[in-house]
Amino acid sequence: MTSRATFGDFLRLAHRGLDPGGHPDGTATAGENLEEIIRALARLVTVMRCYTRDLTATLPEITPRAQPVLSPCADACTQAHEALATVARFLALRDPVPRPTAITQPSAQARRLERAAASLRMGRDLLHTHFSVDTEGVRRPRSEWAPAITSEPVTRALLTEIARIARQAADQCSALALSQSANVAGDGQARRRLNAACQWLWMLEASARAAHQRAPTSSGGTELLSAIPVNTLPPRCVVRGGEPVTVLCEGAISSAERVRHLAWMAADRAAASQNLTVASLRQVAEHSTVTSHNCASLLGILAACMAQAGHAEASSRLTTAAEEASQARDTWLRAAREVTRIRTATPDLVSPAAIEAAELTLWTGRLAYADPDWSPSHGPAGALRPPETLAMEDLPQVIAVAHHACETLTSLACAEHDQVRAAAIAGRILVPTRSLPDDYDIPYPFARAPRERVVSLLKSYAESARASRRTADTLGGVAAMAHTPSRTLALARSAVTGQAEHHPDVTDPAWQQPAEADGQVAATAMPGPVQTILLDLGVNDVALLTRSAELDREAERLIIDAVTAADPHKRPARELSRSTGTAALVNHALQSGDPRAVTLLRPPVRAQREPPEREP
Amino acid sequence: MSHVISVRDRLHGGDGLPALLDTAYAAFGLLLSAIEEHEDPATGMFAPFVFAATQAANGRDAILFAPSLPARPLRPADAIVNRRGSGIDVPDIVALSRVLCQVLAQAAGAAPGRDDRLACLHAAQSAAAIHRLLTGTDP
Repeated sequence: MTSRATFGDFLRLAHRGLDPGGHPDGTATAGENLEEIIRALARLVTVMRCYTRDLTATLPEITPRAQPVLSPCADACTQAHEALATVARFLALRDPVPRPTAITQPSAQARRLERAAASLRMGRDLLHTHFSVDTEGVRRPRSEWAPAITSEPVTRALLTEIARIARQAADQCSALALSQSANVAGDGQARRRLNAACQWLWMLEASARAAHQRAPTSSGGTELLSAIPVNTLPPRCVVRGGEPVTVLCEGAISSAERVRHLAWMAADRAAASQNLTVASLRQVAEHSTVTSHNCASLLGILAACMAQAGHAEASSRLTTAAEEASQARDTWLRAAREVTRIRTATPDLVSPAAIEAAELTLWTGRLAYADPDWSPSHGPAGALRPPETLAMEDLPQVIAVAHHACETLTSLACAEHDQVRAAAIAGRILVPTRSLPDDYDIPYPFARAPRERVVSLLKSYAESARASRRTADTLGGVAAMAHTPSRTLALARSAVTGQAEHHPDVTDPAWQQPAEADGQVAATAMPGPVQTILLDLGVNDVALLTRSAELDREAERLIIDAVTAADPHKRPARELSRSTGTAALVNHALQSGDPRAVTLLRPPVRAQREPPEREP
Repeated sequence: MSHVISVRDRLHGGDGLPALLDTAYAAFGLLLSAIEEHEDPATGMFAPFVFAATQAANGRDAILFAPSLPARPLRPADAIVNRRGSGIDVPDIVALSRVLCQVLAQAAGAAPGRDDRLACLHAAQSAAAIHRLLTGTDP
């Protein structure tokens, strides 16, 4: 949908970076070095802690006396942050290793961790482009995506992804920590530290999993998280004339995104009302009127196409959307008329948002009308595009165009409203003195606009915003139904407003796991210690392997039952993993996904929140 | 209808720059009202009329920057007509925009003051834009 980098790009890179087959770099490694792996994992954990710190930044303070009731997601975020703090303590270097004199190739596992850390760091930077920090250190939104990023569905999806990364890293690093291979260099202390860190990473994942089971992460949240673009102005497409429908759609969507970006920036600076000009206000109003009109025409064409194709429900919804777009056009027309009755104190420079609003009118008009060189200023509009000129495969993109355009008109109306209000407060909205009654004795050609005229203008913008929103919401439903690329707009809207998402029943496949009859989570595919020994012995008898898996599970249950019954505060955290044998058992129990397994580790001390640490 | 003829006649009247500016201001107001009455989404001319309305407002505002414009309307009846609805049809709108363009362009060449010249020039450009939007040709 967008040519901008998205968070999903970096997330995929992070997962691929950790995947042993994801980056075949061709450099043969002599072996693995646990100290290098510890350092690389520490860097990854530092980035992950930045994420969990972001997720917990707005939560109420937890103190020994104040234990607020948190939502499952918020509680899991807090636990994840605390688990990562514990991981970081295990990974902290106690005996600094002297730097090697020659530059050596880091181990393959360390490189994987470094790659994942770098991708995650860039992903977080991308998310932070949507916020700014004011002089008092308070984070402020800088884009239309900011509310979606801090919404509950995206927060849960982000925690899920952090947990997946934690799990992936723990699985790989623990295998090396407990490896008996001569290719893995590292003393006993390094092995214990790395393994303990992995156990807490599993614990993080268990917390996230438990939160997911209490309040499942929707696929919408995950999709929305992946779709978050970097907060930059999308590239401009140039209208040349005679473009095919696909190119027109790309241009229109890019233009709509540009207008939204510029409108947000303008509204963000609304307090600086000297930037507001009547030329911009008039250009935005007249072009938004015509864009709404184009959308209404386009939606009528789409409804006809869907009806011809036998999609009655989609056709009906598009007909409704066309009627709503017509109503939005009428409200924008009223706003355009109101704007002809006022002036601003600033000379007539045209804002970037107004220039781009004109481009959007052109793109939508070229889609709606048969004339490939249609322009709003070229006399009579001519015939509308015949429905048969739209191929079935083009329809989702054309729906996306209308959806994006209506979202953009909503943003524009809100931005114009905010700017006019700020300018009116500053006394920068004027009217011709001649238009005032004779009892106004003002010796200048312009005077401050009477209150009722400003109120009338603001009201017309508010009506435009409401009408455009109604159309966009209807189109959001169509986009979800037709699975168009613009459905993320509807997901973002639903995440922010707390409305039910369009696919509430679909859960994230990452968490889907078969359940046993007794309600316990099924064992993972990872072999346990007994089964590992059989596999190492070359045993491939199914009955024996099944029996060994049962023994592993029985052992886990026995250990978990024993630990649950005991007071976990009375034993040190590392005690259970002191030997390789017990560490393997504990690891397997933690990997199993049994929510009770977290009691194998000492519960984190929740006396106070971690102090902010330095950025990586 | 009679009002638009009256305004056109006054534009050609040659009663001096202040009177011309006063009449041009009234003429743009009249055009704005008339154009808004023709903004009908059911016709193919919807978009041109929406843009023409903006140009009428721009032309009216340009006149306001002329120092020679009288502070108060010389004919208060003009404002009352504007609020009442014009009833002017499209050919008369086009004709009025053409006349406005011509007389204001002449005034821009003849006015002694720089700001008066600029105001007339900008207003003439707006009138020309209205003509172009509604006919596709220059006045």
